[in-house]
Amino acid sequence: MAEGFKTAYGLEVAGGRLLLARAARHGAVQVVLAGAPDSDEARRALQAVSIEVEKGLAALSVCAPAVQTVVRRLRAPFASAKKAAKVWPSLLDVELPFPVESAICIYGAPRIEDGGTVAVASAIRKSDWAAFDDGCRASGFDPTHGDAEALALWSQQAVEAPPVRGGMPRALVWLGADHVTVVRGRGLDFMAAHVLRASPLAGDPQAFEALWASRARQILGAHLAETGSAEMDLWWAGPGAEDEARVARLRQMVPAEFSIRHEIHRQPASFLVRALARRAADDSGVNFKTGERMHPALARAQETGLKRAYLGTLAASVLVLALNGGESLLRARRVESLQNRLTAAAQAIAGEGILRGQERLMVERAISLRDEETQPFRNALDADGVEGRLARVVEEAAALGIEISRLALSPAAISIEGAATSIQAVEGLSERLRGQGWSIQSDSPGLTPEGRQRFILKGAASHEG
Amino acid sequence: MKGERIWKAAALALAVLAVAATLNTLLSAKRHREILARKEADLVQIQSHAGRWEKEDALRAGLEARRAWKPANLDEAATRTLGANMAKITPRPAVSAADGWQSREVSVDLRDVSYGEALLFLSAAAEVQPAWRLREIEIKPSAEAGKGAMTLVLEALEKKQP
Repeated sequence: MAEGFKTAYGLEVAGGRLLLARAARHGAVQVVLAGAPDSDEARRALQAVSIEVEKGLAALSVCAPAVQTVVRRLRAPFASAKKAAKVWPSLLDVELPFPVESAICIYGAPRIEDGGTVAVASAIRKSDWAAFDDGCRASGFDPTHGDAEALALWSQQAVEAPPVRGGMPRALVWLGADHVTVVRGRGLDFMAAHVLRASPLAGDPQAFEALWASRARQILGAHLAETGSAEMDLWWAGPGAEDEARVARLRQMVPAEFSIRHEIHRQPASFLVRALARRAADDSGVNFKTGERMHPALARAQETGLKRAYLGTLAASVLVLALNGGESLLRARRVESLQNRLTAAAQAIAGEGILRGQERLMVERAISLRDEETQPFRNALDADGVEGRLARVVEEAAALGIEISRLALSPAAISIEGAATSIQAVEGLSERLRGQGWSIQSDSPGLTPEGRQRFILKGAASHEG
Repeated sequence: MKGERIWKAAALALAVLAVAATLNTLLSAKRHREILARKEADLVQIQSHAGRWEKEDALRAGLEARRAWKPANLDEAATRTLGANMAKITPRPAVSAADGWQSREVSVDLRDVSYGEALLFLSAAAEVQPAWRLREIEIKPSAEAGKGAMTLVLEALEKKQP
């Protein structure tokens, strides 16, 4: 259904009878009027519908004249919907009794099937449609939708009597007021439609029955042959199907050798208007009244729909932009907050003038400088100090009976010369000094006149100086 | 028709902007996370240095609170502990330290002093805050047993009295 419509009406005026059905967007289809077109009730109903249509609140769908409408199943020999779309007019042209350029052509949704692309096309001569449309307006209604009868009937058949078996051939005979339409297919797939320009409700019934007997054999025989089936379902609808005796007579004229199961739809007269209303409501039908022929209310509705779509896009875009802006703001705040903490932490160490992005480097430089400046304080705080190391060296030497004759000690280096009772005592002192964090090398240059072992120990601090 | 074109153009322009902004947000997310991670790491690193000079600052504050601006007079300490003219004290250039303080160094040459006397001198030098601390020592043998010639390098903090 076009944007803005909540209700759709299906209308049929034929054989001195007007049928009006209404479909709500999400409701069942109801027949709201069945009566004479020139009755007051019909006029009022049409007026009310026209007002709804003009306000853009409802769609009004009618059928293009069946005898002027061509419906064909087209098949392109390649499995590409895009390519097939380019050749549909050429394929349809050979099927039409008039040039394709002079027709309003509508192609259904393509389907890939057996390596080819299949679509159902509907066409009506532009002049025929214009005349029909003018006739509608002259009759007091201006439809928004012009559907194809055969397709409307076939889709309603699928809704009201869905196929039990998918591949089963089936057909529908529409006994209209002034024509008969036979629509045939397999399962849900439409195959062909045939229009007889005669009706059991108009003219000579015997002439029609003769025509029917001949055409039924051709059409149904061809259908069984095309589908390769021996049996099929045949449904009856239309104002002519309200009379069961009539249908029974027509059934008898179907060749007896065909194995056919017959059924009559419930409320057969309003079958088509129900289809029209439903298809307009769910926007699944064909509409010959498009482009320059479009109903002004539909055009306005489309314009409104487009505007709403643009507004929706604008609103969604603004929302997305706002969300992105919010995210950016949030990110900036997160970074700024972290930056403030970082700057404060850096300033606490390196003082003012911290450059953004250079915090770590500036802090490292400040630490290096401050470490240097505070080194005398650390020296002062060193509980052990050089004094402690000296005391330990002297104690260790005394404990090992070592006599120190020369000693030099700084935080970084140590040098001891002296004499010991034995080489083992010198080694012992070396070991103990190593234990105190000195890297020691020893030398034993010989003995003193008293026979004591001379030694020289030199070392560098392996501990923090 | 013109109005529709304007609506269409505006919707299209804003939609493009929205897509661009979203792309920018998505594509910059990784960089944003990296920036945050780097700053977090820098912050943790910098914070790890908090209190790095706490002890030094406490010492300085203590000295300043006690108005202990200068170390002991080494001449007096040497005379008191070693006798007159036993020590040759040579000041070295002061080096500036943190917060207006200086690091002073002196070289002290002691001739023929016993180790005990030397220790007494060092103790006397450390009696007054800021204390003189031994930085280097060199002991050379002397003719007399139990005595030696010593060269000491002492270091102390000092600040000009405010």
